[in-house]
Amino acid sequence: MRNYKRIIALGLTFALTIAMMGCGKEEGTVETAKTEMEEGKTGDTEKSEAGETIKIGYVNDLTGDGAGWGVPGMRGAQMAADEINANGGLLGRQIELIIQDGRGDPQDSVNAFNKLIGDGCIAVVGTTTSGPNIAMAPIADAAEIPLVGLGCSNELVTVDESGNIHPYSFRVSCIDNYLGTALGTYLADKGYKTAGILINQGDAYSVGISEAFVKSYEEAGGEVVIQENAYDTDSDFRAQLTNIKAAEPEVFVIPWVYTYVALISQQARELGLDMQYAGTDAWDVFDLGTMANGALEGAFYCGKQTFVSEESLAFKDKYLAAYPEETECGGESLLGWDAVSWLGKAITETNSVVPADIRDYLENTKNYDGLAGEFSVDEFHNLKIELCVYGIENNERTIVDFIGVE
Amino acid sequence: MLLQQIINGISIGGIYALLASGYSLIYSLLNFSNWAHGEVAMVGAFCAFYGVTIAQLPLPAAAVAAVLGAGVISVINERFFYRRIREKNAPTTFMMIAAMGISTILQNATKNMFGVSVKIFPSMLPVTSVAIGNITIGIYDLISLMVAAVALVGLELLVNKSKFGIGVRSVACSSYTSSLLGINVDRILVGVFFLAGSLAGAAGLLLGLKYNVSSTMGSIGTKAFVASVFGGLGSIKGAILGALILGILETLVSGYISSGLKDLVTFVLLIAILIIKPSGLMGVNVSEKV
Amino acid sequence: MSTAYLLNLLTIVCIHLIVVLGISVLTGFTRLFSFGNAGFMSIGAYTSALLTLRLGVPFWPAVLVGCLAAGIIAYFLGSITLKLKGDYFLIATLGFGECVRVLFSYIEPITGGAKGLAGIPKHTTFPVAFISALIVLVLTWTFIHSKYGRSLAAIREQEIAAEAVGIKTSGYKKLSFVYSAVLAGFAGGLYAHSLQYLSPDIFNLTRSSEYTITVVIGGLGSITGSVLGALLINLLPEMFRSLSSYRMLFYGVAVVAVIVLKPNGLCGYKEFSARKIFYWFKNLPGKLRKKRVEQKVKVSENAEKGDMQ
Repeated sequence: MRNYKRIIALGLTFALTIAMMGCGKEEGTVETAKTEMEEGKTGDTEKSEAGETIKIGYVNDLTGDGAGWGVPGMRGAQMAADEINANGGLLGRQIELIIQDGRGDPQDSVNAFNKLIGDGCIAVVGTTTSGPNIAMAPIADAAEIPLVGLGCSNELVTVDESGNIHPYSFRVSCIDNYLGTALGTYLADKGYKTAGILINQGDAYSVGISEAFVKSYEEAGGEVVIQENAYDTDSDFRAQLTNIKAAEPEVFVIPWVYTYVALISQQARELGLDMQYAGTDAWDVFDLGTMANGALEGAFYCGKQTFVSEESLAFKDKYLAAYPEETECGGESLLGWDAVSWLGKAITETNSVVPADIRDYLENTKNYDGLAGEFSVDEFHNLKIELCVYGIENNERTIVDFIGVE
Repeated sequence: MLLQQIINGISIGGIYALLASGYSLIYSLLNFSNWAHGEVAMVGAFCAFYGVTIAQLPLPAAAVAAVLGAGVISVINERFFYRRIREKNAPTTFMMIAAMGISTILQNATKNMFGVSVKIFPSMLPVTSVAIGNITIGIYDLISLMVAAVALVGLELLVNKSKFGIGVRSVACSSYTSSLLGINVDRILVGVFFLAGSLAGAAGLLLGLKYNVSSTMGSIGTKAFVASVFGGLGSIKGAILGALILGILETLVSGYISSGLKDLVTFVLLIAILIIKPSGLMGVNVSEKV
Repeated sequence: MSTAYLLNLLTIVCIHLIVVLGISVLTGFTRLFSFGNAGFMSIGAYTSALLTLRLGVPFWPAVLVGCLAAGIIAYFLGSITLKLKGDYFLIATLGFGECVRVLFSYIEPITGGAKGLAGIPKHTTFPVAFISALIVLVLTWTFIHSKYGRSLAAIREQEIAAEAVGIKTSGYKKLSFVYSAVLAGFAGGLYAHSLQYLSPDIFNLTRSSEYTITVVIGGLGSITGSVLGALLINLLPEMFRSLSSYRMLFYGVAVVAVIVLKPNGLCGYKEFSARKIFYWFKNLPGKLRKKRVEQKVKVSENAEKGDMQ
């Protein structure tokens, strides 16, 4: 019987701790004490009164493996916000960019997102990886706050498993399916009759692109003679590369993130794989050629337009001037800029800071001129955007071709 | 084709062997699994990398930097952490927990100091490969094999033929009795940790040259553990054998089935061996009777 | 700070607490170190999520099936591996955790693979998580303070002696292992229906080791310590968001500091007890009175000495 007293005491302590945490941090908000499943959070709009700043949130990997995208994205977003403020702000009010670290983890990103909503953001920008966005999408819908992702290219970010759209989830880049299809048609049109592909089964990006690629390449008349699987936890791919060499495809497609591409291509060259190498936008860093120690000479890859247009090159100079500690301007910064500018345009065009109005504008965008290219939004919130084909010559990135919107 | 895969497997197995032998050495003396061993190798790789990129050292000097750096870290771990725990007569699992903690510290300290980006060694040697018939062996693989062979032969000679080696073997047998006989157990342990650390440093350097250098490359230590268990914890020869088998097995599974399943196959085989022969292939320790 | 943020955070804490309690029993009370508990969490999560998502099974039955799956697999795994020495057992559990992760990634048509499983219905609200955690806490407390718990303590302290006294060590170890797996599976089911999204990489080695670290820091052999540890490890990162890049480094330092300086962790073998605190307060006036009397005696002694001189 004595034990029950202890149990109750322990339980009370637990409850007390939680209560103390709640009391300590609660600031009088307009929201009620219901969970985020409840709809009708129009209380948010009451926060955005005239004279106050318009709060836009930013969540991404500021630490961890994805920081190479999250930090440039943040800087691009900040530069866009500063530019808007310098030009008088939106509807006479200044924008405030509130930044949180999602650490690339779905749960941490959800926590960050909830925090931003609680801080009064009327829209949130981020992240770059799809997992966190897929987790945040239902929350964006329930809280009715638009979420504009950067590079998160998985379809499930904007469309759920049953095919229903997430009304409040958007992104400023194209989906894997779009990219893979474009590459497939392009390679077939260029006359490569057979292709081999190495897929990263540990990365949804790679899997998504590969599936779309195989489908469109074969529809366009090509033949995929070999598909090999590997994981991003591997560092040795020679088992698979040996098999690919034996199948002798005319082009070898490597839809992996650039760090692995450098490794894979060097191992491939060592083993004697001499065919054409091709890739996708995760290759897009300027020193990929050097990283691969010359193994990628002559290879090409397709992706969104980064630093192709005049405006984006001007942006790059501004970026490097503003952040002198950086030696390179990461492409994700363009997306950060585009996301914030797009939201800014939505607010001015609809003359409103009500999240629902912003959402309607985003959904119906046609021919928006972003730094990463001109895009239109389709019924699944996916982008139709012109892609660019880059080549690697003398370890430098060159522009080879363009793939228009179909 | 099969032969090519096997050659690939042996070359990665050689690197595993460098790690596994150091691991096994520490285990046979102290009866605990040094989880921080992988991170020691990582430190060696970083020392070499920054030696080359900042101090502009040529490759041999960088190799020395790697070996020394890793050895020193290994000795620091022993001197400041493991020894304190041993002096309190705590169970060996506590040392293992400390090793876990140290591995987390090393991993994250390097990450915070040097960033998360993967570092690639500048081209130190021409990227050529030797072709023997249908088989190609990359230059770094050849070097790995040679270094591993030399190091391991050296280790065997040291342990079996030198005065230090006699001390090591007697401490492995019973540290208490050895101290009674006048052997300075602490000094032997420092020597062993340095030795294991330097082997790990060499492995780290080779891995860095072949692949790349990053703060998470220490996870290869788990492979070393598995290899040691395969071959039998407590036996250095077993560890080397286990490492080679592991390397070949992984490569064959990757090539013929799927690299996604290589860990699964390894694990299942490991369990099977432990059930059939609980002390591993060449092990000396017996499993507890439960 | 919004209530949504806070409630979500506390739900996560409750879920983690359930796993930590399981590991507390396994590692703290039975001294079996396992790095595979994220694997059991994964099994519970995926099983329950696939049942509710694909087959429309109601929430609680699905979670229960998840627990059962985790428990059964643990039973078989335990039968094979528990008779191995501590280090071998560790590597076996580590391998198991990694294998689960890799396997779930591989069978993509069923589990969604790397793309993940999205659209899981949200059933885990804060009340659900809190009450579950409370029930598990009571259950674990009762378990530890029963004859089973005492047998585990005996095995932990001196296994051969325990066997000699007639405690079937293999049976109890298996019980402890299965218990921790069931709790992990339960927590996994709750987690899946809270985040509404699953991907095999969520349940990785880092997560397994975080749970073990929590128990070590809190104190091996103390449930209070594990609760404290779970609260700290999950709430501190949110309170110090600006220092998040140093979070893992801090854990590492904490683990080494604890194990070298105070191996019993924050709470050691002690448990929270209302009675002890009550008595401490009750005795306080008595202690203070004693001190005052002593001081008076000293002063009077000095005075006498002074007088005499």
